[in-house]
Amino acid sequence: MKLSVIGIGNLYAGDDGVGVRLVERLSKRRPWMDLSFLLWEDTDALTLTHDLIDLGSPVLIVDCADMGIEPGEYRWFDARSTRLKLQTDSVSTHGLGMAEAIELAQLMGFDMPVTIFGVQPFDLSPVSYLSQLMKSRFSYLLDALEKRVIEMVVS
Amino acid sequence: MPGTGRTYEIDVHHVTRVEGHGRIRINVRDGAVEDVNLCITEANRFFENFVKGMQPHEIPWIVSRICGICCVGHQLTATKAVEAALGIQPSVQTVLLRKMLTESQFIQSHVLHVYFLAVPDFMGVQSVLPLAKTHPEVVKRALKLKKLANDYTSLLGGRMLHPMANTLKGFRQLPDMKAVEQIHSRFLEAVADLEETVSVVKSLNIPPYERETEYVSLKHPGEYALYDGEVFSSDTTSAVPVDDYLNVTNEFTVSHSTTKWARWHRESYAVGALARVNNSYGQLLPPAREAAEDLGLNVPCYNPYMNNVAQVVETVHCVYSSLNMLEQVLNSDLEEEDVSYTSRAGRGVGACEVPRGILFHDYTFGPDGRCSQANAVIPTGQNINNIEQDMKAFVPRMLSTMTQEELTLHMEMLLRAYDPCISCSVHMLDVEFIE
Repeated sequence: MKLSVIGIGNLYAGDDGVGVRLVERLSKRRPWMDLSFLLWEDTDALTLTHDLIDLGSPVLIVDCADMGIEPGEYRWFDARSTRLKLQTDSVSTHGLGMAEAIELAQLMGFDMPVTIFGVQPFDLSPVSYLSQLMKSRFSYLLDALEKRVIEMVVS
Repeated sequence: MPGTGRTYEIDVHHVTRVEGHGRIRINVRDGAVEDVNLCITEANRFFENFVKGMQPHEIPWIVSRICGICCVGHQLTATKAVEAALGIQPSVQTVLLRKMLTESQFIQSHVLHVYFLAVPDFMGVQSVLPLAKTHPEVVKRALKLKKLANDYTSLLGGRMLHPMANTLKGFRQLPDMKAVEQIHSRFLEAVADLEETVSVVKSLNIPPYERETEYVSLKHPGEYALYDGEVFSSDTTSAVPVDDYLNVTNEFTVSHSTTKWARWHRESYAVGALARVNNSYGQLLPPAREAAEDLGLNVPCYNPYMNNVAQVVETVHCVYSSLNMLEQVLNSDLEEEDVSYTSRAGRGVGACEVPRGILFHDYTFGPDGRCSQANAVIPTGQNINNIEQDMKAFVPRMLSTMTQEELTLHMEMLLRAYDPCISCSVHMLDVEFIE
Protein backbone atom coordinates (compact mmCIF):
# COMPACT_ATOMS: atom_id res chain seq x y z
CA MET A 1 0.00 0.00 0.00
CA LYS A 2 1.17 3.49 -0.86
CA LEU A 3 2.92 5.40 1.93
CA SER A 4 2.12 9.09 2.41
CA VAL A 5 4.98 11.21 3.71
CA ILE A 6 3.58 14.41 5.20
CA GLY A 7 5.60 17.45 6.20
CA ILE A 8 3.82 19.59 8.78
CA GLY A 9 4.83 22.97 10.13
CA ASN A 10 4.77 26.73 9.95
CA LEU A 11 7.36 28.15 7.58
CA TYR A 12 7.08 31.49 9.36
CA ALA A 13 8.03 30.18 12.80
CA GLY A 14 11.71 29.34 12.43
CA ASP A 15 12.50 25.69 13.14
CA ASP A 16 8.79 24.83 13.26
CA GLY A 17 9.00 24.59 9.46
CA VAL A 18 11.66 21.90 9.52
CA GLY A 19 9.17 19.10 8.72
CA VAL A 20 7.86 20.82 5.60
CA ARG A 21 11.38 21.65 4.41
CA LEU A 22 12.68 18.11 4.99
CA VAL A 23 9.82 16.46 3.09
CA GLU A 24 10.08 18.96 0.24
CA ARG A 25 13.80 18.23 -0.10
CA LEU A 26 13.31 14.47 0.27
CA SER A 27 10.75 14.40 -2.55
CA LYS A 28 13.35 15.87 -4.93
CA ARG A 29 16.31 13.81 -3.82
CA ARG A 30 15.57 10.81 -6.01
CA PRO A 31 12.76 9.28 -8.08
CA TRP A 32 10.34 7.59 -5.67
CA MET A 33 7.77 4.87 -6.29
CA ASP A 34 4.78 3.96 -4.12
CA LEU A 35 5.13 7.18 -2.21
CA SER A 36 3.21 10.41 -2.10
CA PHE A 37 4.61 13.56 -0.57
CA LEU A 38 2.33 16.11 1.05
CA LEU A 39 3.17 19.49 2.55
CA TRP A 40 0.65 20.68 5.11
CA GLU A 41 1.70 24.21 6.03
CA ASP A 42 -1.79 25.68 6.13
CA THR A 43 -3.73 22.99 7.91
CA ASP A 44 -5.69 23.14 11.14
CA ALA A 45 -6.12 20.05 13.27
CA LEU A 46 -9.64 19.22 12.11
CA THR A 47 -8.55 19.37 8.48
CA LEU A 48 -5.67 17.07 9.38
CA THR A 49 -8.18 14.60 10.83
CA HIS A 50 -10.32 14.81 7.71
CA ASP A 51 -7.35 14.35 5.40
CA LEU A 52 -5.93 11.40 7.36
CA ILE A 53 -9.26 9.59 7.04
CA ASP A 54 -9.44 10.58 3.38
CA LEU A 55 -5.91 9.31 2.66
CA GLY A 56 -6.65 5.88 4.11
CA SER A 57 -3.00 4.88 3.77
CA PRO A 58 -0.04 4.39 6.11
CA VAL A 59 1.35 7.77 7.04
CA LEU A 60 4.77 9.10 7.95
CA ILE A 61 4.52 12.53 9.56
CA VAL A 62 7.61 14.73 9.71
CA ASP A 63 7.22 17.52 12.24
CA CYS A 64 8.95 19.70 14.76
CA ALA A 65 8.27 18.28 18.24
CA ASP A 66 9.15 19.11 21.81
CA MET A 67 10.49 15.79 23.11
CA GLY A 68 12.88 17.02 25.76
CA ILE A 69 15.94 15.85 23.82
CA GLU A 70 18.91 17.77 22.43
CA PRO A 71 17.91 20.38 19.86
CA GLY A 72 18.65 19.20 16.31
CA GLU A 73 18.15 15.54 17.29
CA TYR A 74 15.29 13.37 16.08
CA ARG A 75 13.14 10.53 17.35
CA TRP A 76 10.83 8.03 15.67
CA PHE A 77 7.42 7.44 17.20
CA ASP A 78 4.65 5.05 16.42
CA ALA A 79 1.46 6.96 17.15
CA ARG A 80 -0.22 3.73 18.21
CA SER A 81 2.29 2.77 20.87
CA THR A 82 3.36 6.23 22.01
CA ARG A 83 1.10 8.35 24.11
CA LEU A 84 1.14 11.79 22.50
CA LYS A 85 0.52 14.51 24.99
CA LEU A 86 -2.91 16.08 24.55
CA GLN A 87 -2.96 19.86 24.89
CA THR A 88 -5.85 19.85 27.33
CA ASP A 89 -7.79 17.35 29.34
CA SER A 90 -11.02 18.30 27.64
CA VAL A 91 -10.42 19.47 24.17
CA SER A 92 -11.39 22.78 22.61
CA THR A 93 -11.34 23.30 18.88
CA HIS A 94 -9.29 26.48 19.04
CA GLY A 95 -6.56 24.58 20.82
CA LEU A 96 -6.71 21.25 19.00
CA GLY A 97 -3.25 19.97 18.15
CA MET A 98 -1.77 17.14 16.12
CA ALA A 99 -2.14 14.65 18.97
CA GLU A 100 -5.88 15.30 19.16
CA ALA A 101 -6.19 15.23 15.38
CA ILE A 102 -4.63 11.76 15.17
CA GLU A 103 -6.68 10.51 18.10
CA LEU A 104 -9.87 11.85 16.54
CA ALA A 105 -9.07 10.16 13.21
CA GLN A 106 -8.36 6.87 14.99
CA LEU A 107 -11.60 7.09 16.97
CA MET A 108 -13.43 7.40 13.68
CA GLY A 109 -11.90 4.31 12.18
CA PHE A 110 -8.60 5.42 10.67
CA ASP A 111 -6.57 2.30 11.46
CA MET A 112 -3.46 2.77 9.31
CA PRO A 113 0.00 2.95 10.88
CA VAL A 114 1.07 6.51 11.76
CA THR A 115 4.81 6.93 12.15
CA ILE A 116 6.19 10.25 13.33
CA PHE A 117 9.66 11.61 12.67
CA GLY A 118 10.00 14.31 15.31
CA VAL A 119 12.76 16.91 15.29
CA GLN A 120 13.63 18.88 18.42
CA PRO A 121 13.83 22.62 17.53
CA PHE A 122 16.49 25.15 18.48
CA ASP A 123 14.48 28.31 17.89
CA LEU A 124 10.80 29.00 17.14
CA SER A 125 11.13 32.75 16.56
CA PRO A 126 8.69 34.22 14.00
CA VAL A 127 11.07 34.22 11.03
CA SER A 128 10.76 32.62 7.60
CA TYR A 129 13.95 30.54 7.80
CA LEU A 130 15.51 27.81 9.91
CA SER A 131 17.98 28.72 12.64
CA GLN A 132 21.65 28.47 11.71
CA LEU A 133 22.04 25.55 14.10
CA MET A 134 19.15 23.67 12.49
CA LYS A 135 20.55 24.40 9.03
CA SER A 136 23.80 22.79 10.13
CA ARG A 137 21.86 19.64 11.13
CA PHE A 138 19.68 19.52 8.02
CA SER A 139 21.71 17.04 5.96
CA TYR A 140 22.04 14.73 8.95
CA LEU A 141 18.27 14.79 9.48
CA LEU A 142 17.54 14.33 5.77
CA ASP A 143 19.86 11.31 5.55
CA ALA A 144 18.17 9.70 8.54
CA LEU A 145 14.73 10.34 7.11
CA GLU A 146 15.65 9.03 3.67
CA LYS A 147 17.18 5.84 5.09
CA ARG A 148 14.03 5.06 7.08
CA VAL A 149 11.67 5.89 4.22
CA ILE A 150 13.57 3.50 1.93
CA GLU A 151 13.29 0.78 4.58
CA MET A 152 9.58 1.40 4.96
CA VAL A 153 8.94 1.28 1.23
CA VAL A 154 10.98 -1.92 0.78
CA SER A 155 9.33 -3.64 3.71
CA MET B 1 -30.83 18.23 44.75
CA PRO B 2 -32.19 21.61 43.58
CA GLY B 3 -30.64 24.70 45.19
CA THR B 4 -33.64 25.95 47.19
CA GLY B 5 -32.64 27.14 50.66
CA ARG B 6 -28.96 26.39 50.19
CA THR B 7 -25.92 28.64 50.36
CA TYR B 8 -23.09 28.15 47.92
CA GLU B 9 -20.79 29.80 45.43
CA ILE B 10 -20.27 28.64 41.89
CA ASP B 11 -16.89 29.76 40.65
CA VAL B 12 -15.98 28.71 37.13
CA HIS B 13 -12.55 30.18 36.67
CA HIS B 14 -9.00 30.13 35.31
CA VAL B 15 -9.43 30.29 31.61
CA THR B 16 -6.00 30.44 30.12
CA ARG B 17 -6.40 30.22 26.35
CA VAL B 18 -5.33 32.56 23.62
CA GLU B 19 -8.79 33.93 23.06
CA GLY B 20 -8.93 35.48 26.53
CA HIS B 21 -9.82 34.70 30.10
CA GLY B 22 -13.35 34.23 31.38
CA ARG B 23 -14.81 33.40 34.76
CA ILE B 24 -18.35 32.84 35.97
CA ARG B 25 -19.13 33.60 39.63
CA ILE B 26 -22.51 32.94 41.19
CA ASN B 27 -23.21 33.48 44.91
CA VAL B 28 -26.30 31.89 46.37
CA ARG B 29 -27.31 32.58 50.00
CA ASP B 30 -30.26 30.88 51.66
CA GLY B 31 -31.67 29.93 48.29
CA ALA B 32 -31.51 33.47 46.87
CA VAL B 33 -29.08 34.75 44.26
CA GLU B 34 -26.79 37.37 45.77
CA ASP B 35 -24.57 38.05 42.80
CA VAL B 36 -23.83 36.86 39.28
CA ASN B 37 -20.71 38.02 37.45
CA LEU B 38 -19.14 37.19 34.13
CA CYS B 39 -15.56 38.28 34.63
CA ILE B 40 -13.36 38.76 31.58
CA THR B 41 -9.66 39.32 32.17
CA GLU B 42 -8.33 39.58 28.65
CA ALA B 43 -5.07 41.41 28.21
CA ASN B 44 -4.86 44.25 25.72
CA ARG B 45 -3.89 42.93 22.28
CA PHE B 46 -2.32 46.24 21.13
CA PHE B 47 -3.31 45.77 17.46
CA GLU B 48 -4.67 49.32 17.35
CA ASN B 49 -1.18 50.50 18.20
CA PHE B 50 0.63 48.03 15.93
CA VAL B 51 -0.95 49.57 12.85
CA LYS B 52 0.00 53.15 13.66
CA GLY B 53 2.53 54.33 11.08
CA MET B 54 1.59 51.62 8.60
CA GLN B 55 0.64 52.17 4.99
CA PRO B 56 -3.05 51.66 4.14
CA HIS B 57 -2.72 48.37 2.22
CA GLU B 58 -0.72 46.74 5.06
CA ILE B 59 -3.47 47.20 7.64
CA PRO B 60 -6.03 44.56 6.50
CA TRP B 61 -3.37 41.85 6.37
CA ILE B 62 -2.00 42.73 9.81
CA VAL B 63 -5.33 43.01 11.61
CA SER B 64 -6.57 39.70 10.21
CA ARG B 65 -4.18 38.23 12.80
CA ILE B 66 -6.45 39.51 15.58
CA CYS B 67 -8.32 36.21 15.31
CA GLY B 68 -7.57 32.83 13.75
CA ILE B 69 -11.27 32.07 13.39
CA CYS B 70 -12.53 35.46 12.18
CA CYS B 71 -9.41 36.39 10.16
CA VAL B 72 -11.48 36.92 7.01
CA GLY B 73 -13.94 39.20 8.82
CA HIS B 74 -11.23 41.38 10.35
CA GLN B 75 -9.46 41.63 7.00
CA LEU B 76 -12.59 42.58 5.05
CA THR B 77 -13.85 45.03 7.66
CA ALA B 78 -10.46 46.74 7.75
CA THR B 79 -10.36 46.79 3.95
CA LYS B 80 -13.74 48.53 3.84
CA ALA B 81 -12.69 51.05 6.51
CA VAL B 82 -9.41 51.90 4.76
CA GLU B 83 -11.15 52.17 1.39
CA ALA B 84 -13.68 54.55 2.95
CA ALA B 85 -10.85 56.69 4.30
CA LEU B 86 -9.14 56.83 0.91
CA GLY B 87 -12.33 57.28 -1.12
CA ILE B 88 -11.87 53.96 -2.96
CA GLN B 89 -14.95 52.34 -4.48
CA PRO B 90 -14.38 48.62 -5.19
CA SER B 91 -15.76 47.09 -8.38
CA VAL B 92 -18.85 44.88 -8.60
CA GLN B 93 -16.54 41.91 -9.25
CA THR B 94 -14.50 42.63 -6.12
CA VAL B 95 -17.59 42.98 -3.94
CA LEU B 96 -18.90 39.65 -5.29
CA LEU B 97 -15.65 37.85 -4.46
CA ARG B 98 -15.56 39.44 -1.00
CA LYS B 99 -19.11 38.31 -0.29
CA MET B 100 -18.11 34.77 -1.23
CA LEU B 101 -15.06 35.01 1.05
CA THR B 102 -17.35 36.24 3.85
CA GLU B 103 -19.68 33.28 3.46
CA SER B 104 -16.78 30.82 3.42
CA GLN B 105 -15.90 32.09 6.88
CA PHE B 106 -19.47 31.85 8.13
CA ILE B 107 -19.83 28.23 7.02
CA GLN B 108 -16.46 27.29 8.50
CA SER B 109 -17.02 29.03 11.83
CA HIS B 110 -20.66 28.00 12.31
CA VAL B 111 -19.95 24.33 11.51
CA LEU B 112 -17.01 24.41 13.90
CA HIS B 113 -19.07 25.92 16.69
CA VAL B 114 -22.30 23.97 16.29
CA TYR B 115 -20.74 20.55 15.82
CA PHE B 116 -17.56 20.75 17.88
CA LEU B 117 -18.50 23.07 20.75
CA ALA B 118 -22.28 23.11 21.16
CA VAL B 119 -23.46 19.64 20.12
CA PRO B 120 -21.24 17.82 22.68
CA ASP B 121 -23.07 19.78 25.43
CA PHE B 122 -26.45 18.59 24.25
CA MET B 123 -25.25 15.01 23.82
CA GLY B 124 -23.86 14.92 27.33
CA VAL B 125 -20.17 14.57 26.50
CA GLN B 126 -17.22 16.76 27.39
CA SER B 127 -15.78 17.29 23.92
CA VAL B 128 -15.68 16.08 20.37
CA LEU B 129 -13.42 13.09 21.20
CA PRO B 130 -16.04 10.95 22.95
CA LEU B 131 -18.57 12.10 20.36
CA ALA B 132 -16.33 10.69 17.63
CA LYS B 133 -16.58 7.31 19.29
CA THR B 134 -20.34 7.30 19.84
CA HIS B 135 -21.48 9.32 16.82
CA PRO B 136 -18.73 9.00 14.17
CA GLU B 137 -21.13 9.80 11.32
CA VAL B 138 -21.95 13.17 12.91
CA VAL B 139 -18.29 14.11 13.30
CA LYS B 140 -17.41 12.90 9.78
CA ARG B 141 -20.14 15.09 8.34
CA ALA B 142 -18.87 18.06 10.33
CA LEU B 143 -15.30 17.47 9.16
CA LYS B 144 -16.49 17.25 5.55
CA LEU B 145 -18.45 20.52 5.76
CA LYS B 146 -15.61 22.29 7.51
CA LYS B 147 -13.10 21.06 4.93
CA LEU B 148 -15.37 22.35 2.16
CA ALA B 149 -15.53 25.78 3.79
CA ASN B 150 -11.75 25.83 4.33
CA ASP B 151 -11.14 24.99 0.67
CA TYR B 152 -13.64 27.68 -0.33
CA THR B 153 -11.65 30.25 1.67
CA SER B 154 -8.39 29.03 0.09
CA LEU B 155 -9.89 29.25 -3.40
CA LEU B 156 -10.85 32.90 -2.93
CA GLY B 157 -8.27 34.11 -0.46
CA GLY B 158 -5.22 32.17 -1.60
CA ARG B 159 -4.97 30.30 1.66
CA MET B 160 -7.16 29.04 4.45
CA LEU B 161 -5.90 31.16 7.33
CA HIS B 162 -5.15 34.87 7.03
CA PRO B 163 -5.79 34.97 3.27
CA MET B 164 -3.61 37.32 1.25
CA ALA B 165 -5.40 37.59 -2.12
CA ASN B 166 -7.80 40.35 -1.07
CA THR B 167 -6.39 43.85 -0.93
CA LEU B 168 -7.52 47.45 -1.37
CA LYS B 169 -9.50 47.91 -4.63
CA GLY B 170 -9.55 44.23 -5.54
CA PHE B 171 -7.84 40.87 -5.54
CA ARG B 172 -4.16 40.25 -6.20
CA GLN B 173 -5.00 36.76 -7.41
CA LEU B 174 -8.25 35.58 -8.96
CA PRO B 175 -9.72 32.12 -8.30
CA ASP B 176 -8.90 29.38 -10.79
CA MET B 177 -12.04 28.61 -12.81
CA LYS B 178 -11.53 24.83 -12.76
CA ALA B 179 -11.31 24.98 -8.99
CA VAL B 180 -14.47 27.11 -8.94
CA GLU B 181 -16.26 24.38 -10.92
CA GLN B 182 -15.03 21.71 -8.53
CA ILE B 183 -16.06 23.59 -5.42
CA HIS B 184 -19.46 24.30 -6.96
CA SER B 185 -19.97 20.53 -7.38
CA ARG B 186 -18.94 19.95 -3.78
CA PHE B 187 -21.43 22.57 -2.61
CA LEU B 188 -24.19 20.75 -4.49
CA GLU B 189 -23.19 17.53 -2.71
CA ALA B 190 -23.17 19.39 0.63
CA VAL B 191 -26.92 20.02 0.45
CA ALA B 192 -27.56 16.48 1.72
CA ASP B 193 -25.14 17.08 4.61
CA LEU B 194 -27.05 20.24 5.48
CA GLU B 195 -30.31 18.31 5.66
CA GLU B 196 -28.67 15.84 8.04
CA THR B 197 -27.30 18.74 10.07
CA VAL B 198 -30.79 20.18 10.46
CA SER B 199 -32.01 16.74 11.60
CA VAL B 200 -29.26 16.47 14.23
CA VAL B 201 -29.91 19.94 15.62
CA LYS B 202 -33.67 19.36 15.56
CA SER B 203 -33.16 16.43 17.93
CA LEU B 204 -31.34 18.57 20.53
CA ASN B 205 -33.16 19.65 23.64
CA ILE B 206 -32.70 23.44 23.74
CA PRO B 207 -33.19 25.00 27.20
CA PRO B 208 -36.41 27.06 27.13
CA TYR B 209 -35.20 30.29 28.76
CA GLU B 210 -36.13 33.66 27.27
CA ARG B 211 -35.37 37.31 28.02
CA GLU B 212 -36.54 40.15 25.85
CA THR B 213 -33.40 41.60 24.29
CA GLU B 214 -32.30 44.36 21.96
CA TYR B 215 -30.81 42.73 18.87
CA VAL B 216 -28.32 44.70 16.78
CA SER B 217 -27.05 43.75 13.35
CA LEU B 218 -26.29 45.13 9.92
CA LYS B 219 -29.34 45.45 7.71
CA HIS B 220 -29.41 45.90 3.96
CA PRO B 221 -32.45 46.69 1.81
CA GLY B 222 -31.49 44.23 -0.91
CA GLU B 223 -30.09 41.17 0.81
CA TYR B 224 -29.47 39.27 4.06
CA ALA B 225 -26.80 41.60 5.43
CA LEU B 226 -23.44 39.98 6.03
CA TYR B 227 -20.91 42.03 4.05
CA ASP B 228 -22.65 45.38 4.03
CA GLY B 229 -25.50 47.42 5.48
CA GLU B 230 -26.45 49.95 8.16
CA VAL B 231 -26.64 49.32 11.91
CA PHE B 232 -30.15 48.17 12.83
CA SER B 233 -31.73 47.88 16.27
CA SER B 234 -34.72 45.68 17.01
CA ASP B 235 -35.74 48.20 19.71
CA THR B 236 -36.21 51.12 17.31
CA THR B 237 -36.72 49.06 14.13
CA SER B 238 -34.56 51.62 12.40
CA ALA B 239 -30.94 51.83 11.25
CA VAL B 240 -28.11 54.31 11.60
CA PRO B 241 -25.06 54.73 9.34
CA VAL B 242 -21.99 52.67 10.16
CA ASP B 243 -20.06 55.93 10.70
CA ASP B 244 -22.17 56.45 13.87
CA TYR B 245 -20.93 53.24 15.46
CA LEU B 246 -19.55 54.98 18.57
CA ASN B 247 -23.10 56.07 19.37
CA VAL B 248 -24.16 52.44 19.01
CA THR B 249 -21.54 50.69 21.08
CA ASN B 250 -21.28 53.35 23.84
CA GLU B 251 -18.44 51.37 25.37
CA PHE B 252 -17.93 51.54 29.11
CA THR B 253 -15.93 49.73 31.75
CA VAL B 254 -16.87 47.64 34.78
CA SER B 255 -14.64 46.64 37.64
CA HIS B 256 -14.77 42.88 37.01
CA SER B 257 -13.86 42.93 33.31
CA THR B 258 -10.93 44.19 31.28
CA THR B 259 -13.10 44.01 28.17
CA LYS B 260 -15.09 47.13 27.46
CA TRP B 261 -18.83 46.54 27.65
CA ALA B 262 -21.46 47.95 25.32
CA ARG B 263 -25.06 49.20 25.51
CA TRP B 264 -27.35 51.13 23.19
CA HIS B 265 -31.04 51.63 23.91
CA ARG B 266 -31.19 49.56 27.12
CA GLU B 267 -28.79 48.01 29.63
CA SER B 268 -27.27 45.69 27.01
CA TYR B 269 -27.70 44.37 23.49
CA ALA B 270 -26.91 41.19 21.62
CA VAL B 271 -25.17 40.65 18.29
CA GLY B 272 -24.60 37.44 16.35
CA ALA B 273 -26.54 34.83 14.42
CA LEU B 274 -29.76 35.13 16.44
CA ALA B 275 -29.68 38.94 16.16
CA ARG B 276 -29.25 38.73 12.39
CA VAL B 277 -31.98 36.13 11.92
CA ASN B 278 -34.34 38.16 14.12
CA ASN B 279 -33.60 41.40 12.27
CA SER B 280 -33.39 40.13 8.69
CA TYR B 281 -35.48 36.96 8.68
CA GLY B 282 -37.39 37.93 5.52
CA GLN B 283 -34.15 38.19 3.57
CA LEU B 284 -32.95 34.68 4.31
CA LEU B 285 -33.06 32.47 1.23
CA PRO B 286 -36.13 30.18 1.15
CA PRO B 287 -34.23 26.97 2.13
CA ALA B 288 -32.87 28.78 5.20
CA ARG B 289 -36.35 29.97 6.20
CA GLU B 290 -37.61 26.40 5.75
CA ALA B 291 -34.80 25.20 8.02
CA ALA B 292 -35.75 27.83 10.61
CA GLU B 293 -39.36 26.67 10.57
CA ASP B 294 -38.29 23.03 10.79
CA LEU B 295 -36.08 23.86 13.77
CA GLY B 296 -38.76 25.87 15.55
CA LEU B 297 -36.98 29.19 15.25
CA ASN B 298 -39.80 31.72 15.13
CA VAL B 299 -38.93 35.42 15.13
CA PRO B 300 -38.68 37.36 17.27
CA CYS B 301 -36.87 34.73 19.29
CA TYR B 302 -35.59 35.79 22.72
CA ASN B 303 -33.97 32.51 23.73
CA PRO B 304 -30.16 32.94 23.59
CA TYR B 305 -29.64 29.16 23.53
CA MET B 306 -31.31 29.30 20.09
CA ASN B 307 -28.23 31.13 18.76
CA ASN B 308 -26.87 27.68 17.88
CA VAL B 309 -30.01 27.00 15.85
CA ALA B 310 -29.67 30.39 14.15
CA GLN B 311 -26.12 29.42 13.20
CA VAL B 312 -27.45 26.33 11.43
CA VAL B 313 -30.05 28.46 9.63
CA GLU B 314 -27.31 30.84 8.49
CA THR B 315 -25.15 27.93 7.34
CA VAL B 316 -28.01 26.79 5.10
CA HIS B 317 -28.39 30.37 3.82
CA CYS B 318 -24.67 30.70 3.09
CA VAL B 319 -24.44 27.38 1.24
CA TYR B 320 -27.33 28.29 -1.07
CA SER B 321 -26.15 31.87 -1.47
CA SER B 322 -22.64 30.64 -2.29
CA LEU B 323 -24.05 28.27 -4.90
CA ASN B 324 -25.71 31.28 -6.54
CA MET B 325 -22.54 33.36 -6.41
CA LEU B 326 -20.35 30.50 -7.69
CA GLU B 327 -22.72 30.21 -10.66
CA GLN B 328 -22.38 33.96 -11.26
CA VAL B 329 -18.61 33.59 -11.33
CA LEU B 330 -18.80 30.57 -13.65
CA ASN B 331 -20.99 32.56 -16.04
CA SER B 332 -18.67 35.54 -16.13
CA ASP B 333 -15.11 36.30 -17.15
CA LEU B 334 -13.24 37.50 -14.12
CA GLU B 335 -10.83 40.31 -14.97
CA GLU B 336 -7.53 41.24 -13.38
CA GLU B 337 -8.00 44.65 -11.78
CA ASP B 338 -5.61 47.49 -11.10
CA VAL B 339 -5.02 47.53 -7.34
CA SER B 340 -2.71 50.55 -7.25
CA TYR B 341 -3.90 53.43 -5.11
CA THR B 342 -2.84 56.80 -3.73
CA SER B 343 -2.87 57.36 0.00
CA ARG B 344 -4.18 60.55 1.55
CA ALA B 345 -5.28 61.99 4.86
CA GLY B 346 -8.72 60.95 6.06
CA ARG B 347 -10.81 58.75 8.29
CA GLY B 348 -12.94 55.75 7.40
CA VAL B 349 -15.22 53.35 9.25
CA GLY B 350 -16.10 49.87 8.05
CA ALA B 351 -18.49 47.25 9.38
CA CYS B 352 -19.14 43.64 8.44
CA GLU B 353 -21.06 40.88 10.07
CA VAL B 354 -18.71 38.14 11.25
CA PRO B 355 -19.98 34.85 12.69
CA ARG B 356 -20.18 36.21 16.24
CA GLY B 357 -21.82 39.52 15.31
CA ILE B 358 -21.22 42.98 13.97
CA LEU B 359 -17.58 44.09 13.73
CA PHE B 360 -16.44 47.71 13.45
CA HIS B 361 -13.05 49.00 12.29
CA ASP B 362 -12.09 52.68 12.21
CA TYR B 363 -8.83 54.13 10.78
CA THR B 364 -7.46 57.64 10.46
CA PHE B 365 -4.59 58.53 8.11
CA GLY B 366 -2.40 61.59 8.54
CA PRO B 367 -1.01 63.98 5.91
CA ASP B 368 1.84 61.52 5.28
CA GLY B 369 -0.73 58.88 4.25
CA ARG B 370 0.13 56.62 7.18
CA CYS B 371 -2.19 55.39 9.90
CA SER B 372 -2.37 57.70 12.89
CA GLN B 373 -5.36 56.29 14.78
CA ALA B 374 -7.20 52.96 14.87
CA ASN B 375 -10.13 51.39 16.69
CA ALA B 376 -11.76 47.97 16.49
CA VAL B 377 -14.93 46.92 18.35
CA ILE B 378 -15.41 43.17 18.21
CA PRO B 379 -18.66 41.23 18.63
CA THR B 380 -17.65 39.35 21.77
CA GLY B 381 -16.97 42.67 23.51
CA GLN B 382 -20.47 43.82 22.57
CA ASN B 383 -22.06 40.59 23.80
CA ILE B 384 -20.38 40.16 27.20
CA ASN B 385 -22.70 42.60 28.96
CA ASN B 386 -25.75 40.89 27.46
CA ILE B 387 -24.52 37.44 28.49
CA GLU B 388 -24.21 38.62 32.09
CA GLN B 389 -27.71 40.14 31.94
CA ASP B 390 -29.01 36.77 30.68
CA MET B 391 -27.26 35.00 33.54
CA LYS B 392 -28.74 37.41 36.07
CA ALA B 393 -32.22 36.79 34.65
CA PHE B 394 -31.95 33.02 34.28
CA VAL B 395 -30.12 31.94 37.47
CA PRO B 396 -33.02 32.81 39.82
CA ARG B 397 -35.40 30.92 37.52
CA MET B 398 -33.12 27.89 37.31
CA LEU B 399 -32.21 27.83 40.99
CA SER B 400 -35.35 26.14 42.26
CA THR B 401 -35.28 23.31 39.74
CA MET B 402 -31.59 22.59 39.16
CA THR B 403 -28.71 21.14 41.10
CA GLN B 404 -25.45 23.08 41.28
CA GLU B 405 -24.02 20.87 38.56
CA GLU B 406 -26.98 21.45 36.26
CA LEU B 407 -26.88 25.18 36.92
CA THR B 408 -23.16 25.33 36.19
CA LEU B 409 -23.63 23.39 32.96
CA HIS B 410 -26.47 25.69 31.86
CA MET B 411 -24.33 28.77 32.53
CA GLU B 412 -21.45 27.34 30.51
CA MET B 413 -23.86 26.35 27.75
CA LEU B 414 -25.28 29.88 27.77
CA LEU B 415 -21.82 31.38 27.39
CA ARG B 416 -20.98 28.91 24.62
CA ALA B 417 -24.30 29.57 22.86
CA TYR B 418 -23.07 33.09 22.13
CA ASP B 419 -19.99 31.50 20.52
CA PRO B 420 -17.63 33.98 22.16
CA CYS B 421 -13.97 33.92 21.26
CA ILE B 422 -13.34 32.74 24.80
CA SER B 423 -15.56 29.68 24.29
CA CYS B 424 -12.55 27.48 23.60
CA SER B 425 -11.32 28.27 27.06
CA VAL B 426 -14.66 27.74 28.73
CA HIS B 427 -14.62 24.12 27.61
CA MET B 428 -11.63 23.41 29.83
CA LEU B 429 -12.87 25.16 32.95
CA ASP B 430 -12.72 23.61 36.37
CA VAL B 431 -15.73 24.06 38.60
CA GLU B 432 -15.27 24.80 42.25
CA PHE B 433 -18.10 24.71 44.80
CA ILE B 434 -17.76 26.40 48.16
CA GLU B 435 -20.50 25.31 50.53
